Amino acid sequence: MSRRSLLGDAGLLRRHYSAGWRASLLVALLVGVTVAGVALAPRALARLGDRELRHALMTTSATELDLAGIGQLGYADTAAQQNVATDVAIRNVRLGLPEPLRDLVGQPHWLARTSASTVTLPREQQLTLDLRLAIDLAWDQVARPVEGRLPDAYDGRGPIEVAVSRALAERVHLRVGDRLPNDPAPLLVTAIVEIDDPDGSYAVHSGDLVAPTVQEAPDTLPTVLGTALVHPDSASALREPMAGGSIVAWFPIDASRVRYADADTLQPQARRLASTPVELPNGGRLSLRTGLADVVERTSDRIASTYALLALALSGLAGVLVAVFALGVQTVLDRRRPALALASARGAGRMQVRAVMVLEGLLIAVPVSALAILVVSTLVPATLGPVGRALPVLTALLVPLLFGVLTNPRTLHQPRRDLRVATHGRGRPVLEIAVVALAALSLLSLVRRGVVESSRAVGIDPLVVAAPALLTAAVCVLVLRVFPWPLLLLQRRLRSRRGPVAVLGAARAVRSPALGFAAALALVVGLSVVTFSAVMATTIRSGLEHSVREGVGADVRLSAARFDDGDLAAVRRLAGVDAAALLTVRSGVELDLGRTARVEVVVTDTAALHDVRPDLPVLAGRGQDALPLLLGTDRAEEPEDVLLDQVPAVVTSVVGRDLLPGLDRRWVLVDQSALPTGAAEGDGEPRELLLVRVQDGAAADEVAGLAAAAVGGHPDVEVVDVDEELAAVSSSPVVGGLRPALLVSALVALVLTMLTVVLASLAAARSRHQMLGVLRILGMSRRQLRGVVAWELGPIAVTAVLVGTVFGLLLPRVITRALDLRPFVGGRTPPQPVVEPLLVLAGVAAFVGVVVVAGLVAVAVGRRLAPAETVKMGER
Amino acid sequence: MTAQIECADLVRIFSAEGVEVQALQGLTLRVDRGELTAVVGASGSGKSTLLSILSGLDVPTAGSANVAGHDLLAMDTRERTAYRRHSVGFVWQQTSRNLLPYLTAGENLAMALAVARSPRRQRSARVGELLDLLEVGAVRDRRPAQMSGGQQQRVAIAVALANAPEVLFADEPTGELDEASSQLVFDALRDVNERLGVTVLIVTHDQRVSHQVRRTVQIRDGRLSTEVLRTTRLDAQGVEQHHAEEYAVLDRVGRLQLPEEYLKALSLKDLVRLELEPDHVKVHPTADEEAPS
Repeated sequence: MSRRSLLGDAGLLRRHYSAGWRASLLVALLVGVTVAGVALAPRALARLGDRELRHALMTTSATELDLAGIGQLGYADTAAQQNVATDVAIRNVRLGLPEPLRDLVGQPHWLARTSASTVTLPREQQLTLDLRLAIDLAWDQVARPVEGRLPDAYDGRGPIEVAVSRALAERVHLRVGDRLPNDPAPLLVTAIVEIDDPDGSYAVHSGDLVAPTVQEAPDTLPTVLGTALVHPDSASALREPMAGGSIVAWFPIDASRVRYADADTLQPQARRLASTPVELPNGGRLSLRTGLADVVERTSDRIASTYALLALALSGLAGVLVAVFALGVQTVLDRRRPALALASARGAGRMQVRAVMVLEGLLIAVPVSALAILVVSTLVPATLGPVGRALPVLTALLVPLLFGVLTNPRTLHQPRRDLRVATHGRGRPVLEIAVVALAALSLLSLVRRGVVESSRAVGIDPLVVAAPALLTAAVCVLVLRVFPWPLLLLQRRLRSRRGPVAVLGAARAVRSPALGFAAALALVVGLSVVTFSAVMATTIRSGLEHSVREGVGADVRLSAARFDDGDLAAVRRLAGVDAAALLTVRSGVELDLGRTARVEVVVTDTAALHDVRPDLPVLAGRGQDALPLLLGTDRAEEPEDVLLDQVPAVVTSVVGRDLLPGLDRRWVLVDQSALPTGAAEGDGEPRELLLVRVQDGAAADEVAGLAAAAVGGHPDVEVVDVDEELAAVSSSPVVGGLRPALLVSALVALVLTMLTVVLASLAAARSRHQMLGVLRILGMSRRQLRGVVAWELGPIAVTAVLVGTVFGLLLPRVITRALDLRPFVGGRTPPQPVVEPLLVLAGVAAFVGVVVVAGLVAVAVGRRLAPAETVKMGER
Repeated sequence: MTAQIECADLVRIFSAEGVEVQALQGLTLRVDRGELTAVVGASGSGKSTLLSILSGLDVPTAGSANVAGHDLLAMDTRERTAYRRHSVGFVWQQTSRNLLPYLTAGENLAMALAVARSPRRQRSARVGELLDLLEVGAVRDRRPAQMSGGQQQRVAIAVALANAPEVLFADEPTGELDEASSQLVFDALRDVNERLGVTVLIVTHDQRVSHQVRRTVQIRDGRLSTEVLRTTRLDAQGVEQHHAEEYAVLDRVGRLQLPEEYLKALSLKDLVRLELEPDHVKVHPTADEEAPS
């Protein structure tokens, strides 16, 4: 079957590339899947960032978040001018905002109010009413009359008709038709209205319109502060009191549209907006503020920490990925070798040979990568930065690059194959020294730089990200250098034994290792990524628990103005309670430590507190010359002899302010038995805390429920527990997403390791089968042959398990020195690596299983591929 | 006659991890332009190493080698590439090393032309010309697996000649062929030598081949040991008489290798006694004599 000869360059290349297309297709598939993964990862991260930012903004109160402000209305000539012009000016604020801020800011609401004036209430009430009149252009949508009719406009004649909220009406017993004396005209209640406030923004920004506030002070009548609505057209007649009052405006923030990619632009935009007052017509002014910038900044820190952490976990994989690609490319190259050797012998220059292979690399990688990127970007749309966009492209281009680098025209002609042994070029030591030196440099700079407070300031620092990859590569270099020594020793010791398998296996592992650098790298990196992920997952979890516990102050905290004597005993009796302590916090106590300061004093049974919080010391009781106390402060101060409310005292130790939750900048802890009666009473009402430690194995949230029921007699009890707080923290997308992400990176590491072992083992199939053929002829049994094959993978796998585990355990120590995880986990102290032996062991076991399976698969596939090689020991 | 191939004191040592193999130990050889020469020798004598060096695929450790005006020890990469493209062609024993299995005969030729950047439009004519010259024009559109062994080797010769080399090297070109095919391939080589004037150097085990060339050189232990020159003379009756005369090679410092059969016949070993006569040198065995004190 002849076929038409193609004599042109393109036709010849077509023939060349289409020969042995299966290997190329496999590499193309590998590239496609990898590029899809690399394209997906930044998109998933960008979406995670978006979700985290939205979650943070949505869980922030509207009071803090909304763009809101208070100002002064101008003094206009006519009402129409006034209302419309003000409305336009306020709406223009939004229209004048730069993108992306404008996109998040919703339509404004505003209210103009007179200042409050005391109104005499009908029906002789024991109350004072301070009432403000308000104009709201959207009043007909907001105020729904439940009684009466909405007021008519006040034009300077007759009474001023007003609508009051049902809450105000009930509080001060107002009815429709009530007339209240007022200046400049009496007020007539024409309507009692319900304020429709579906998003709660009126309650937040103009709460007195929805419900009145009541101020109570001893020896005076309670004062009710409320607001009544008048017809907007009353503005003209009321322009004087209005100009003397205030204007409140707010723009809701729509968090569902925020994107993490815009975080850096949003912050300065929001800050600039808050620092520039808005000019209103006729001399009015409005100052706006929003907590958006702070929330975005805080959250961005956390997201950046997550990104950095994931980049760290994944950067090691980059090395394995290169190794896998290199092995795949090598498979194609091996198939092309005879053709390249022939072309080179016929006079193809080095550039020609390389160009042919680079072109093949491009043909393999570019179409499939373009398709992968297209599919991923269609399915998972996201806004990406330049790095996110470049990564998949660079990954795809790695393939032609590897084709170019691994095509070595010098090695195509091997004059004496019989004399070919595993020798390494001069380039290897230079490369190895460079890798080790770079790793050392990177480590040194990390250690010298220390923990960076905000990982966002650094972003995904190349130094931090490259460190694990470089360290892993350096470790691999050392492993491959050191690895033969113990084997040589072993080989010498095994010589005296009768079995040939171990001697042969050890000799082969030393002199002609079947699996090269790529496999060693993949094994060490694979396991270190698995171990690293396990340790980091535990570290993050424990860091979160630690910071939550710091925030709660114990496993469960109950707080109220006062607990009864029986409450403590009742809580202590509860199932699951290990210990409980009652703390009384008195504020405004004078502490003389050279100068006088006002502090909070925590009075408790320190022995009971020590049972709940073993980190807090037991202070001595009565009978001392001076009152022993513990000082909690943020400042660097170490006073010894002090006076607490004139009582001589001695500071036994100084601790951080956050050691007990919810206290002032400076506080002292004293034992209740040591404090003289009547001393340090402070000003104002004390408040009490009940700290509970739960038994091992008991659930804090269940204990919290029981405790809340046990002290249920108090109306103002507030209960927090670590479980609930932890669940709240974990509801954050990044916290919730980090563990799956670490798990995914561990799984990817396992898959890549498996691929590497299979590919490297397949690449060694030819030499293995030649050797097995010889050994079979020499009379080795099948069992012995299997042993010889096992020696191929065994020593390097054992070394990888040892080195990879140790390295994976050490890497988190390096990382936590370089990367501050506090934005992520919160808390006072940077979290330290926590190793959970069972989890690490499970990871190692999974890894060993994967390697064994990969080895078996490779040997089985290799046996099917090259059955004839076992006996053919000829020239090739 | 000008020398097309000139080697002097060629040494090639392979060394790897403590193992050192001296494949050529000061080989000296001169082949004139247009000559057809056979190189014979036992396995491991250094024949293939010599051919690798001459074809520019390997570099000698010491000595001098000059082929078609190229100093093989002084060539840089660029010159070496040009040398392989235009100055020499070669044919190996295994077809798999000569032809790419997935290309047709025409395409294999075109590949050699493409490597040398020969213009596309000239290729078809050149391919046809060479295949016809080697009498394999019929298999132009067939792949190697669809040809006989002899056809494959003749296509391989055509490929080797694609870029009009001055010298053609052939390493056991008939090694895997039956007698008839061998003869066809050898005839093709001789034809190429005669019609195109290409210098041909054949490394062979095949006695039939070596007996058909005018000059056969034998390599032993990495050195040229003997040389057989065949001449054809007409006797008194006008009948062609073939004469073969074997010469031992004397190197520049006076060393020579005695043929194996001479050594065996006279039990020449270790020490021999030389005697200078007016027109020749006598070599006497010393086994029966008393060893010199």
